Amino acid sequence: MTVTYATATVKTPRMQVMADVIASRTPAAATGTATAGQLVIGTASLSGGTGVLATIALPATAFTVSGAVATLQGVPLSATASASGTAALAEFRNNAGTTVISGLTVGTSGSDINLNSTSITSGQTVTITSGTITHG
Amino acid sequence: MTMGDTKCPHCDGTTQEHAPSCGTLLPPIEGTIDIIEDLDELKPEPQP
Repeated sequence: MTVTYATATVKTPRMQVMADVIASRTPAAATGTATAGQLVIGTASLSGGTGVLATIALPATAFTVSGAVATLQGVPLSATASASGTAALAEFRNNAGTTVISGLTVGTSGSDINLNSTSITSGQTVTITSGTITHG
Repeated sequence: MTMGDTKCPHCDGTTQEHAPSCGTLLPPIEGTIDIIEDLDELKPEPQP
């Protein structure tokens, strides 16, 4: 699946790492204090606060990276659905609600996020039991 | 319980109004994240 990364905060640093490694330089380590981001599951019209079905809080350090795989921490992660609808898209957002990764597909199989049902009812518990992002 | 357009046997409501009006517990939605990055975005732009 094609997902979209935020340009200034992800694409540019990623390209800088590539440029530095080609030049035999050592990429700079991350700085700052980790704050909890969120996984937002929504309808096909998900954009900002529109189409939000469930917002799942992530651990402050949401992923650990080993080799080419980033593994979601703290699973299972749950939230109570805030609206009813058919889940179709999802986004990772930072603590301020700024979208970091968008375009994640949600379905029952073969999607970036696979749920046992995409029909979500307000008040229903939505749980993510595992998560990985693999560098292709 | 996924109601779809089926009437709830308890409150006769539809999916949209089932949970708040009836209070019947709905089973959790469970899922996994499995993203394999598509690196096409890193390929050079095709020349005209």
